[in-house]
Parts: sequence; structure tokens; C-alpha cells
Amino acid sequence: MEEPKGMAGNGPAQGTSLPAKDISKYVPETRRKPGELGIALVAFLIGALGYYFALGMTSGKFSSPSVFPKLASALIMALSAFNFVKALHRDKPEESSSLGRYLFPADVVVILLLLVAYCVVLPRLHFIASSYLFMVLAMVYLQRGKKILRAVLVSALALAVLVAVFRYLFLVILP
Amino acid sequence: MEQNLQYFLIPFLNWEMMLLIWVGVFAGIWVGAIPGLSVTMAASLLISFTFSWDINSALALICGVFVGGVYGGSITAILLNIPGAPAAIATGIEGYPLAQRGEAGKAIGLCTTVSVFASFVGIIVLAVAAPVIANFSLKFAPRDFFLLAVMGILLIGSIGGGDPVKGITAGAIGILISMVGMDPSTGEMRYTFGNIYLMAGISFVTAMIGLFGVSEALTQFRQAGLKSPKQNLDRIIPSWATFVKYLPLSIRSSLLGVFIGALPGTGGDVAALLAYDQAKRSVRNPSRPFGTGAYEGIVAPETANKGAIGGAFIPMLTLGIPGDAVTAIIIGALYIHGLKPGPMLMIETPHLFWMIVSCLSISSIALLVLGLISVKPFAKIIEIPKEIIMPVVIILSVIGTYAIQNSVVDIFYMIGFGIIGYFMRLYGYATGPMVLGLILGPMLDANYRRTMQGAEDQFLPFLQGFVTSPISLFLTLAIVFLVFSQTAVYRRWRGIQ
Amino acid sequence: MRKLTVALVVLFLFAGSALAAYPEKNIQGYIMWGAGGAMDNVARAITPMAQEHLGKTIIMQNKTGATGAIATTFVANQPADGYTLLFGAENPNLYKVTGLSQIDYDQFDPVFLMMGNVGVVVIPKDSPFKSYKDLIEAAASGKTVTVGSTGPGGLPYVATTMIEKIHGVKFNKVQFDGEGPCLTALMGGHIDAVAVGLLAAASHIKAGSVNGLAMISKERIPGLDSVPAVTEIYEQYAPYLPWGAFFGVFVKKGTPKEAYDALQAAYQKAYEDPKFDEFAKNMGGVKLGLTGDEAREFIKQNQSVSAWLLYDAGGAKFSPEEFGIKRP
Repeated sequence: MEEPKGMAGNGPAQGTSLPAKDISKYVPETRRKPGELGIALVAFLIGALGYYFALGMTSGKFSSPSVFPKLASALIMALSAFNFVKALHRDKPEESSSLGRYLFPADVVVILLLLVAYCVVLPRLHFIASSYLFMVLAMVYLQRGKKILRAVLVSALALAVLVAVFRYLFLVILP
Repeated sequence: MEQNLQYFLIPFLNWEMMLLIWVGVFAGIWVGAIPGLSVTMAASLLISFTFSWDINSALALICGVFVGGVYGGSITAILLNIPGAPAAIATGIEGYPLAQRGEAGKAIGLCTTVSVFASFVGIIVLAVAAPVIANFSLKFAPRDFFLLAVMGILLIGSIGGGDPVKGITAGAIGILISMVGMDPSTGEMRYTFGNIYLMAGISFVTAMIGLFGVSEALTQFRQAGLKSPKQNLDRIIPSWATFVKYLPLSIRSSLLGVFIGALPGTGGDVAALLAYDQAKRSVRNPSRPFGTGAYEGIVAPETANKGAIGGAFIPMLTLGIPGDAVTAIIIGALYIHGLKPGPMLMIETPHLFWMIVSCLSISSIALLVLGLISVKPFAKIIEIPKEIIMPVVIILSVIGTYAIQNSVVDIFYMIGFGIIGYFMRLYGYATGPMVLGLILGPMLDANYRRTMQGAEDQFLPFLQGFVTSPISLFLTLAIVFLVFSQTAVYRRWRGIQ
Repeated sequence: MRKLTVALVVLFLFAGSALAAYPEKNIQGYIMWGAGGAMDNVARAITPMAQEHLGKTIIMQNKTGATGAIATTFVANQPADGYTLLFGAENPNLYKVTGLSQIDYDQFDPVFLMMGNVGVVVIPKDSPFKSYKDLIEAAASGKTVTVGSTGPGGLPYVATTMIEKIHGVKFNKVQFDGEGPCLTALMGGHIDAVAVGLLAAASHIKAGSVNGLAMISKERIPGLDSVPAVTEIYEQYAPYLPWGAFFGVFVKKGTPKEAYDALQAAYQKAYEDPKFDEFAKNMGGVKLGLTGDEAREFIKQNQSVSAWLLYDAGGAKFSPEEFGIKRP
């Protein structure tokens, strides 16, 4: 602990872990990421909508309910305009990186789809069945179809523990 | 005095209470570690459960769960970057990078040791200075709570490591989201569009679980084939020299924690954030730069949120005003058990005060033992391959979110925040500031408006208040200093890089 | 009695009959306010005693938000089988006029109203005001009197509105999140006075950390006889009284009579338990013990006073008349 930097070097084998990125100093990237302008626009839009709907709230006094929503939305608009201009001044994103591939690598797409399916199925199949399905499918996919038995067993065990804790110890009526 | 000592010894001489405290701490660690399960929930559940017991046993169990629960929240923050409770957000900022380096064991070990120390600081202050602090805490006007919230907001630009402007943007969006729902002071609907679920507002715990838990899981799936970091578990207990090295910081942060905890309405979450900020500004040579796994960044919030436990009992036991949600429930428990919590509690039932002090002390000792025993099994959790652990983490987040207020809609919010958090991370918008905005937004809004109402909606009297009241003046000057300390001039002068 | 029930259940089970004695499974109770509040305390104090008489567990959960409208709507959407209870306070009485929700106690049957809460006007112990008259006259003379309040519909809000309307005065109102924070601010000297529920203030009045000026009720309250009833000072309050908050347990309309009766009997017995007496006395609550039509009548009276006060003060979106709420 006295020499944490030294520890980090000989502690975990390099390559097996994510090399800890030094984020102590902020180093601006020279190229903007694909879609970075878009997200600044989205943030601006959130601010604009926030301000628009705040206009409908009670106002007129310094202590009106609309004061903070307006302040916050105005701040969002100003800052995201700043972010937009800053991103614009950087180089264009690399030709090879398409927006779709940057946002949604295959694994993320599958998990996102599974999550959406989970939300749809939850009210119909209820918590236990839908959660079990989600865990088994996610694990089987992430293990690339190998060790299916392990996925089936681990999911069952994890679910059993969760249900025991929440339903029987904490008396939460599961959805 | 002799009488008080006798009261203090009650739990020591009663094996049943002793056992219950240990059971409570053990259960508390797990309750705290699971996102969504909170000490507040556990305590209110225990009240029905312990209805037919005598009050001493019930209090012993609740005190144990309280101490264990606040500690447990940090475990998941360090291991999985999902704070078990808002009080552990700051801990995760430094703890998670450490776990990724394979130092989860050391991080939790350090966290346990300083936590126990801080918990005792809180208990000692409670025992010797409760009435003084309680009366002082009453002097805090809405204006002062507003200033405290501003201090917390100042942290927004500096956490998360990325572009500070993007951090502030995320924080402002967090504040805007926190406005959704029925305004608690006027009943006006803000951003609800006639939807009853939006009227209930968006709970920041829901957002926190999504923005940290699910978005973390999604981000990890971007790097296929990434192995979980192997943990080094050789020396978990920090050496005496290490402990002494962090002692000044520990004392400072735990005292800050006791005081913030004693203010009615603010608790461990605000205390931990302010302490982290304070450490970040005052520690000159951290073990590593802040944001990448500085041990100082674990010590400060952990000591503050443990100190806040003792602090929360101060107004409750002396004035009958709850210091936080858990002590509010304990007040209810006392009523249900036929006691009269309130300003007369210490006069009519003096044994309760000393018994709670001693239950908290035993809980802290139990925390040291149980905490250190469980470091290894906990640290092993992150060695589980991520294709196994991440789906389980997602389901855990789902059920935890549901349990907060038994609402399926919250599950959808949580997953939505998870996806938003994923996009934010991709573009360098830290998720921490957004959660901070969600927590502090209502505190800023409500207290600003109360202050304005107190000044009869006149701008000049409103401003005058900041300089005429001594507490406000002190806090205002502190904020001016905090802002100034960010500037290059100051940093060069103090030699901070 | 319990043996008999068990025997009957067994008999029915053997007969394969669909008729089973209520309750045959655990019951869920939803509390519309958060843990640690007065509603929560009352519900959690009486329910363990009631469930002993039912023989099944009542699982208590807090479902908060929108001053209880979330819990009210939720329970109203559950089957009316007596297995979902709503622990509710007076707030749904104002949902319609504030436009918060169309679902209020009209959709429910009151199983039992356990406890009531009257308003009391309190001031800091070192306040320049010595009596209720002082306070009102100061406000009438145009001096700024800052009082604590909560959102429209909360007891402090309606009580303050009542006082303003009766005396034709205006206070400078500072809005807090609840009665507890109002009292804390009062003790810290940040506001001059506040009208809160007695449940929140009783222990502080007894200890002398705040002074009670007047009970917003027709009689003095046992245990706090030193605080005068407001009608002793100003008779104009009489038409609005009795008024105050209440805490009760409700089931959805259409619940089978058998289930309703079983629940009612269980809560009645729990209510009569000396332990509950002790609890009510400590908290400073007024025992109500109303059920059936009496309870309905009480709720209607409360609704009419609050809804019209709120409407006249401009705090309501819709006229109570639209919903057939009569003027008090």
C-alpha cells in the first residue's frame, strides 16, 4: 500500500486485466468519435425541451417552481452548444469507424435486445421465468454456445438465492 | 456517571443482545451490498418483525444492521462499480479502478479499518457532545442547506475524469431530471404530462443503479474476450504505518461526517461526497492521482459516511428529530414499543441513550471482525468470468430496483438509465455527475425557494442573508475558497500539480 | 375459535369446495406514505395485533409518491378479493379537486379508521407571541409573520388556509417537505409559527421545546389540557370543525362481505388492545375507531372542509362542485 504504483506493476499479470488507463490528467482527443456531434445535439434538444415545458409552469416570482427547471435547461443548452463547437473543431472521425459499429458492437446489440425483450416479457411471464430466461440466454450467448449446462445451473442457483433473499427475507412481492 | 456506565454495560451483559448485534451487522453487510436493498428498508421490516420482542433486543438488531449496511454499500461500489447505496458513490470512484488493478482486497481492507475507526469517532462525539451539536444543527437555516448543496454541486465538474464541461452538462441534465414529478412544496406538476408514474418522480436510487450497474455491464460487453482481473489477496489488513498515515484525513473526514449526519435531512451520502471533495482538494501527494485509485479517495468518503451514523443519532436522541431516514424509523419503533421519543427521551429513559451508544460500539467491533473475514470471499466475486457475473448483475439490478418501491415502472426507468449511461460513457460524459445532480437537485431547488420565501421574494434581502448570518457567511466564504482553490494561481502557490 | 376455523378450512378443503374461509393466504398491505412517517407508524403499530386475529401475515410495504396517489391507484387496480389493503391518510380526499387523480376513497370501503390527528398552532419557546390572539393580531396589523407550510393538501397548508380565511389575514409562507421539517425549522427560529398535526408536535409541546397556542378543534385534547381549543378564543372556527387528518385501512369496493367482516373484526380487536391505547397516547393521536357508514360520513365531512378551503384559497384546479362535494 505504501508503494501502490509498484504493486500495480507486479500484482495482476499484465494482459489479463484491463490496463488501467491514466485518467488523472484529461488529455483531449484529437479526433472526435463518430456521433459525438449528434450527442451534443441531443443534449441541446433536452435542454430546449426542458425550457419549453418550463414555460408552462407557474412563474413570476423568484421562488416559483419554474426557476430551477429554467436555470438547469438554460445551462444544458449553453454547455451542449459549447460541446458541439468544441467537437466541431476537432478532426473528423476515422473513415473506417462507422457510427453503427461504434455504438453497437455485436455483443452489446444482443444484450440490448435481450433487455428489451425482458421488459416486454416481464409483465406476462412474471419475474422468475423471465429473469431465468434472460440469464440463461445471456450466458449461453456470451459463452458462445459452450458450457450450456453451466449456464443453466448457475442461473438457477443465482435466481434461487435472489428469490430467497427478496421474497422470503424481505417479503417483497415479486412482479 | 456510574449509572450511565451501568446502562452502557446492558448489552455486554446480555448474551442475546450481543448475538443479535452480530447477526445484525452480518445481515447488514449483505443488505447494504445489494443495490436497491437499503438499511431503511431493512429497519422498517425489522419493526414489524420485532414487534413482540422487548425494545432492547429490537434496538440491538437495528443498530447492527445500520452499521453493517452503511459499510456493505461500499463493497459493491469497489467490486462492481455499482454503489449499494448513494453514500458509496464516492468510494466507487477510487475503489473500482483499484479492483480493476487487482487490489480489491487491499481496498476493502483499508475501507474496513478506517470505517471502524470513523464509526467510533461518531459514537464518541454522540456520547460526549450530543446536546451541543444538536442545538447548533438547529441553527442551520434553509439558506445553509442550499449552500451545502452548492458545495456538493461544485464536485460535479471534477469527478469522472473526463472533460469537465461534459461532466457539468451531465450534472445539469441530472438536476433537470430530478425536477420531474410533483413539486413537494407547492404540489405543482413539473414535466409529468399527466402521467401518474411521472408524478411520483424518478427516484435517484433507480437512476443510480441503471447509470452505474447496467451501463457498466453494457460497456464491458464492448470488449469481447476481456478477462476479469486476478486479485492479489496477500495483505488485506493495512499496516499500522498506513493507518497512521491516513489518520489526520480520517479524523477530519469522520468529524465532517458526524456533523453532516447530525443535520436533520442530510446524511451519509452528502457527507461522503463533501469529504471526498475535501480530500481531493487538500491532499497534496495522493497515493495515485485521484480518479485512478487513490487510497485517500476511499478513506475520506468511507470515514465520513460511518461518522454520519453516530451523527444521525444526535438530533434523534436529544431532540426527537430524525437525523436521517433510518433514525426516523427508529423513532417510529420507539413509539410502537410504548416509549416516548422526543426531547424528553433522555430524561425519562436515560438508559436508552447509553444503550444505543453501546450497541453502536459493539456493532463497530463486529464490523471489524466480520468485515475483514469477508474480504476474501467478496474479492473473489470479481474473479468470476464476466459472461457469468454480468447477466446476474443485471438481474440483481432489476430486482433491487423493484424492491425500492414495489414498482415495475421503476425497472423500465432503471434499464432506460442503463442504456443512456452506456451512450454517455461512449462519448466521455461521466455518469457520476448525473447521479449527483439527481441527488442534489431537489435539495438545491427546495432550499433556494424556501430562502427566497423567507426573504418575501425580494432579491436584496435574499442576498443579505448570505452575509448577515454567521453560519451562512462561513459557508459562503468556504465556497468562494473552494472555487478559488481550483484556479491555477492557488495551485501554483500551494504546489499542487 | 381458531381451532374451529382450522377445522372448517380442513372440512372445506376435503369437500373440494370453492368456498374457503378468508384469509386463506397472506395479505398485502400498501402504506401510502414513507417509512418513519405518522401513517407508517400507525399502520405498523396496529397491524401486527390485527394479524394475530386473522391467522395470516399481512405483508406491509411502503408505496410512496404523489401524496399517496400511486398507492391508491395501484390498490384500486388490484382484484377486490380482500388480499390487498390500502393504508391511507386523508390525502385522497383532495385528488379530484387538485387534478392529481380521479381515484379517491369513492372507490374504496373503509375497513377501519384507527386514528385522527388534529391541527395545533405552535410557536418557538422564545417567541414574542404569548397567545393565539397575539399571533393573529400581529398578522392583522400588517406585520410580516412567517409561517411554515407544506404542499397543497397537507394538513399545515389547509390549516393555514383556514386561519387566513377566517381572520382575513395573510402570512408569509415558507414551504417545507413535511411536518417534521416545519417543526425543525421552528425550533431553529427560522419561522415564526406553524400549524401542524398534533402527532408530530405532541412530544415537543410536552417537553416545552415549542409552545402550543391553540388546537384546531372544538375541545381540548386529553393529555395536553394546557393548550386551549381554538373555539374558546375565536368562535368563527366552529363551522369547519371537526377537521383534521385521519389514518385508516381500506379495501377496494366490491370486496366480498366475508373478507370485509373478517378484516373489520380483526382491526376492531386490535384497536381495543390496551397496547394500541398506550401507543395513541404516546403519539398524541386521537383515537377514532370508526368503521362502515360512520367512517364514510367522517371522510365526507373532512373532504368537504378541505376541498372547499383549498378551492377558495385558489389551491385547487377544479371546483369541488363538479364532483358533488358539498360546501360545509
